Amino acid sequence: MEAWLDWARGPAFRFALALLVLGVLRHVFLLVAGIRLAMKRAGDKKLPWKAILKSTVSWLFPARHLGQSPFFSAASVVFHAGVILAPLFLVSHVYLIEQSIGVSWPTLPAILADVLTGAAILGLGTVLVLRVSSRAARALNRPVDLWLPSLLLVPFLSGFLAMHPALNPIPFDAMLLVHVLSGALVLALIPFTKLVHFVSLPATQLVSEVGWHFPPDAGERVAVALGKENQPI
Amino acid sequence: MSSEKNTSEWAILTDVTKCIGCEFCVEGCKALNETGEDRPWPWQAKINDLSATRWTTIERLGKDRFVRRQCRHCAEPACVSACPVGALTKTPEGPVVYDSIKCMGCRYCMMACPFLVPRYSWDEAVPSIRKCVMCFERIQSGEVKEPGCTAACPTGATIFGRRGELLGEAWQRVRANPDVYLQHVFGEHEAGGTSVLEISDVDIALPATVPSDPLPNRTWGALKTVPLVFLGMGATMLGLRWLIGRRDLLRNEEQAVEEQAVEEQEG
Amino acid sequence: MRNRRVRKVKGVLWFVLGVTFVVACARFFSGLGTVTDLTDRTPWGLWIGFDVMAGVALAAGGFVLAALVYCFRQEKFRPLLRPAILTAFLGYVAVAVGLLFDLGRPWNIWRPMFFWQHHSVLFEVAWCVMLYTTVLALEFLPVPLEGSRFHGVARFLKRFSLPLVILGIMLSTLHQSSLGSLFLITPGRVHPLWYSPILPLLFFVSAVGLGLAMVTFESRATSWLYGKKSEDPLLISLMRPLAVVLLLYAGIRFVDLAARGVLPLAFEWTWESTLFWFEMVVSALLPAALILSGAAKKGGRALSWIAGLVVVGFVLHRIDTAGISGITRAGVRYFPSWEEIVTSMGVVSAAILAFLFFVERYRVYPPEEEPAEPAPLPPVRVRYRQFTAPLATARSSSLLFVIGAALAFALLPSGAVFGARLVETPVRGSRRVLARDGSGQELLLVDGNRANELTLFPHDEHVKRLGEKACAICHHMNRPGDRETSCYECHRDEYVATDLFRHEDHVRALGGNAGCAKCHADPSLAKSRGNATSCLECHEDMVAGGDLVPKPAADSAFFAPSYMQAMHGTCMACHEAEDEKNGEAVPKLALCGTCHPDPRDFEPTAARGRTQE
Repeated sequence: MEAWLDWARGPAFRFALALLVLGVLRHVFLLVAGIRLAMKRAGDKKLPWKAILKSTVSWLFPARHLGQSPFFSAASVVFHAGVILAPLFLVSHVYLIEQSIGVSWPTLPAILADVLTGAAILGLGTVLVLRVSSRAARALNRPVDLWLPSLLLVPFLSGFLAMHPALNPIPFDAMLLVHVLSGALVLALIPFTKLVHFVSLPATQLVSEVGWHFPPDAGERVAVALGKENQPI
Repeated sequence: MSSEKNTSEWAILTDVTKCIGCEFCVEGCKALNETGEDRPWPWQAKINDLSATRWTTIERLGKDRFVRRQCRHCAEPACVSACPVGALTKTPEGPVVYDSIKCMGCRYCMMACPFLVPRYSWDEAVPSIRKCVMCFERIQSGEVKEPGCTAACPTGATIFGRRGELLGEAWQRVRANPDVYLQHVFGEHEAGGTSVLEISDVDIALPATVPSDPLPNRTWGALKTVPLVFLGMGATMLGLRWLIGRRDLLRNEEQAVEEQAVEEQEG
Repeated sequence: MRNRRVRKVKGVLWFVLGVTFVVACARFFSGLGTVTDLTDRTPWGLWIGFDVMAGVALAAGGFVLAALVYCFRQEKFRPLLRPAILTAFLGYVAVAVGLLFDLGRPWNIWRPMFFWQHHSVLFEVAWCVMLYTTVLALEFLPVPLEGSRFHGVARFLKRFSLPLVILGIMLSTLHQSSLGSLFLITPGRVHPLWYSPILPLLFFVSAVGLGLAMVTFESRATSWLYGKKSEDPLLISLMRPLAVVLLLYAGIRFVDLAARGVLPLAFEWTWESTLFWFEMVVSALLPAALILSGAAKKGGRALSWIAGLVVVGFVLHRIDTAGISGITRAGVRYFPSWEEIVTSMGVVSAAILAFLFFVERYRVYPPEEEPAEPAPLPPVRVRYRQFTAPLATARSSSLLFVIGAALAFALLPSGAVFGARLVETPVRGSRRVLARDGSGQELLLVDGNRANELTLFPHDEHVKRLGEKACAICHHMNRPGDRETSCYECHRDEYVATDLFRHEDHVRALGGNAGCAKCHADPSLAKSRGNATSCLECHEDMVAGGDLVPKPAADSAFFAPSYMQAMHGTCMACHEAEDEKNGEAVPKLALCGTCHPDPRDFEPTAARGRTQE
């Protein structure tokens, strides 16, 4: 078991981490290239940079949107804080990183880490429940909308249990293995799923702006290319 | 021969029959040159082989004989001849010294050395060639009177001096005890003569491939022809171009004449 | 279809580049020892043998074809000239890049330009390669400049084609042969079947053959990749000169072997002689036979096979000369690490990608004649799947690059950030021995490392295994510089931290998860050895009572005596007593003279009959 754990913490985790960093960079590179290509073909070459910046910032700090749905807005902020801060500043994680590359940073007190992990678990649970319970959401759900939050739940749950041996029903090493592998899987999937929104947020604002700058007859051209001209949309 | 030429060069004579294998020379070298601790790196055959941190070492010959390995400071060093940037130089005093600032790390010196002496600090991001330099700078500056190894030897098995004197001393010892010593001074003629000499009662197992002539002569033979080959090739190529062009021209003219003749006949 | 083939090939090349990228980071930040398997006795490896030696030879097509067209006036080969020049130029750039990987201090690569060492072959090679790369750049520059606003420069450069070509041939002759001269100074490292005073000649002749083969190979490969019309008729007429060169090479080689009197070595059937025959057959004999038998006359795959054989054979010749043939003599085994192999592949991949870039963007190949009237496109309905999305190549290539890089990052040894690894051979035997298993076995708790890393040492077991008289194998610490006589002699990982603590056993013994807190008492700390409860808390009898070994202080971070402490306890007392008896004021523990005061002990005649125990 310890050999498996070493493998998971070593090569498997490094693979996931490299995939995360480089994959996100690739995503950014492709976004920029795609935007440039779109702008080249666009009729109107002017972009409302100010508006893009404003909407990006307002979605980064959703205080302004609190009024619309206060509970969900607040819950969303807490959930994101948990998902990001708990893994990054957990004392055990920082220790592992210090052991492998010699860099370390301040850590969260154990209580706060527990609270944040709890927030992440609760948030993910709520997301899942809402997506299953609401009829409107069910109609819109793709498979990924259900399995991605479920997968994200695994490392948080297993990590919490590993930290609290008294609550842990299975052997510590097995729990840790589940934790490390599922965590690595989540990291590796970030650039290829919509989890990548943490870097693509400004770009998605930009893309929706660029969308309005297609040549005037863009729609007709698409219809012609698809062989569907003169058909009602 | 070179052995007469280099009589005033610094040299080291090791008497294998006096060496007890205590490795004080190794310690003396390490202490003086601050080479650092030996570690079991994968690029060393053994931890006590010559290495970037071990510029001299003791090798056991059979059961109870020991021979010291180190850079032999050849009279005509292959490493110096091979170095494309002049990082290795043969000083007039004899030692072959290294300047890491000039080195580009091609390791041709390691390839060229017939005694397989130069070592590399493979573990460093800015690596260097490492080998015995006969404590050249420290002796030159007066910090020490002789290399760390000879100074540390408790039995006087390895001694420092001028090559001429040591060679005389070596032959005197060898001749005085013909029933003990092999009638040979190792390093007198090997690879064109070296500044490190050994006398022994057993063969000291230098690499079998060490030639008796200085190695730089071999590449110099090829390098001498460089200008000739360079200009010769250019001339040949231009000549060929002219010749073949001329041939084509003549052939075309002939053809034209023939065609004209044919035309005239037909006309 | 064609498009997809190009995309696939590019994807593979980018994948290799991704792996290379990470390996390159490790190599430049942590040193050569981190990623290569080079040793002190085999200082040149694959990066010199393949990237440099074979790389330069593979780029020989440029000067060979230039000579054919300009000097031998074979104008029909002109369509092959541009790609050959481009291959040569990119080949030389690749050699330079490969060299940067191999050089320990690559930032000093410019030094041969200013610090002349005319006695060094490498100096001459460096100059020639540098000049020739410049010449090649000037020869090729008109191609990208033709259509641009610098077409004036292109026209100006084209006026100097002939002098540039002649200069290129002169420089190539020099350095192609000088790569052979490099090894004239290393007779001890090259097997006699390869070492010869005429290595320069052999290298030059084989470079000409390799150049012709490479031109053939690369033309066929690009035709396949882009679905272009093949240039087979031209290539077929290259085969005859190729056969002549190959036979010339084989002839020179055998005459040389015979003249040096080492031909019998080829029939001793050592692995070197097998390698020699394999190399000769693949590089020269088989392709020459194929050409002469007329197999090449039909063109097609036969051409690729012949060219491929020559390429593989001569690349092998370079690698053999630069290293493989000398392995037996070097006395250590060297096989390139996967990092070295991938890096070599990566450099080649980059060169191919650059080649494709130029081919796609500029008129490297003569434009194909367009059909008189473009056939009207059939009115097909485009299905979504057939749609080539914009950036498709960029998407697939970058994805494969990222995966390659991540894979390399995962496969690199975990300590690569900190540099090279020490040799490790786990000491399994002593790990399995339990201190209190009731076997009555005497165990020693020693620090073989002298670094406060502890191990339980089964002394009796060693005595039993090594024999009664084997004490001296280990107990011979009178040589201060010598660490090999100790545990290291057998346990190569002696200086690597060893640890006999087994976490699994403790988890089991302490009752699973409930027991964690026994050692990891403070839940606010990360669970680690460093802040766990000291072993002595439970294992009070780790150090036997009445032993000479002093117990460590209770508050010590280390819970048992080190090897040094053990030695000082058990050995020093005796040594000191011995010294006192001899009237030494200061104990000279390491001096042989402590126990052997009689200098006659070291006389050669006296020592001859003795065994050191």
